[in-house]
Amino acid sequence: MKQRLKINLAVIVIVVLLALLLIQVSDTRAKVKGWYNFDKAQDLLKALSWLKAHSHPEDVVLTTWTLGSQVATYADRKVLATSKVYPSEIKSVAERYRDISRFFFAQDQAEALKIVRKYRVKFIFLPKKFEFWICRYIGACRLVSESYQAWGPQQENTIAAQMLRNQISKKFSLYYKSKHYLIYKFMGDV
Amino acid sequence: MFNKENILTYIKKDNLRPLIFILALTVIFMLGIDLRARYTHSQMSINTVSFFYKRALYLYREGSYLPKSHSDLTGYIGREDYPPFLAYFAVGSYNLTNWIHGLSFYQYIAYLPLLLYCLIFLSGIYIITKLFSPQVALIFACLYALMPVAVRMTVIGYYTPEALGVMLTLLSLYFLIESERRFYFTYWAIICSTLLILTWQLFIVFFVIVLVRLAIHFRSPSQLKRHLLILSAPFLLAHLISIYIIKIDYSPLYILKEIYLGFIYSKTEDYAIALYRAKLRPLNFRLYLDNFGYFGVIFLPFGILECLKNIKEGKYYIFLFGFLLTLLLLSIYIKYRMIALPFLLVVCSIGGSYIYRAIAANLNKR
Repeated sequence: MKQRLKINLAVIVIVVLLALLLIQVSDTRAKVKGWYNFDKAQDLLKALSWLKAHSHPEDVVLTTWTLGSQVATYADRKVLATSKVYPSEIKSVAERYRDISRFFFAQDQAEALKIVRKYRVKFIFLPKKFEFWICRYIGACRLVSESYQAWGPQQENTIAAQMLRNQISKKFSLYYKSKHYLIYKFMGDV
Repeated sequence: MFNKENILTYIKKDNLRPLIFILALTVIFMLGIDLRARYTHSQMSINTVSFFYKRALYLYREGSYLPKSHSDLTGYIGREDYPPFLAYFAVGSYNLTNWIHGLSFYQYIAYLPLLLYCLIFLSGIYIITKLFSPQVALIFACLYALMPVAVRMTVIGYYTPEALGVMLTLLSLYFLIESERRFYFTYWAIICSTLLILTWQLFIVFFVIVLVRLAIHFRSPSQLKRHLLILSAPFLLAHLISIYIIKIDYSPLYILKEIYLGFIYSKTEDYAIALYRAKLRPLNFRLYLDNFGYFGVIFLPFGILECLKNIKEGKYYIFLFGFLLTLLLLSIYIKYRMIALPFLLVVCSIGGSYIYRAIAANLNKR
């Protein structure tokens, strides 16, 4: 009897493991499907090729640091920051991350222009699906909804909101627009 | 000749076992390829990927590594201080194999993680068979082919040092364990760990394991000599290659300094902003399951128990200690999941093999 029970238990374990194997395969497959957005990736490469073709090698591009490496690689233009950082660089990197956040969350143009002039920025590259969570770095999260997925009630005056709506002063001119990305050119002197 | 009796005798002698083993490995391997290739495209738009792609492209076009003076940042004289071996591996393997596949360099780089999947699969099976048993190797292959984090690391387009780093970590560990048997393997351990240093900043885990193994398990002067060689020679070689031959600012000694600075600055606001990027996610069960899958949960306790039971054997000690060390890193930041992978795979495979043996024992009593 005891022997029979052990055999039954072994069979149950085999069945459970095989079922889990199938679930794991389908689970991993679903994850892989979610990792890539081919359409968005193609759109990004197209936008960066355009930027490379329509800018000077010395032009500086202001973008979020999560896009920094892509701009530096595919558009071959200098940026304010990338996500590459070592502990010995944190002071300078943190300052640049703050400045990028300050620019996008600036509520008046003068504040934004300070950052533009500080780094001699010529182009601004921003995703339409904006990375709202960077508000945390400069205590500007009151402008963003609690889920960090969209703007909150007081966002109208921020530079990023104006750029996303294309209702910004003539100092910034919309140069390129695609399904996922916008490129603005700073028209003033740097 | 082909009567029923002869066939049954042939099967009962376990003659089919190697064939079934190879067949099972082939099926698992193909399943792994399918997961990594079917839903992906030969494009590389991920942030970190473009960083490494830029270095490989420069090496491919110019024939030399990106110079120190280069910087992606405006108004900042950056340092070229990331490990360089991945670019050399990519360009070297591309030049060697181009006549076979005829891909462009961009396409080849996108497919390189798939090549690394094959290399880790084959080297992993060889290593685990040698160290443990074909049964453990089969479970290792299965886990490696299906585990979400392993798929992530070797999916098309994911060109980062992690896959190459995992392969070199496994090879370094294998040669370290084998060096206890034959001194000759010490040289291989030195070569692999030098390349590991030049590939991945997380090489430090391997050296902590060697150091702790030496401190706790010190037996003889010859062992001391062997371990000291493995501890010091790769540091020296990697430093010389990087600073004086490739001429960049990357060195294992600088990495030690950075780790020290990381501890010093870890409480500052700048550190939180620059390194954690507001996305610091410590390990929790959900994240663990997402990354290591169901078998990473089920097999793990059995694997740990098996390792503890055989802790006096160097190989069990090394993989268990490595796993616990990387688990500690994981508890701080989920990004360290890739360095936990080789240890977790081996410990889970040992656990899976234990379950397999227990089931087989019960069924055989019939």
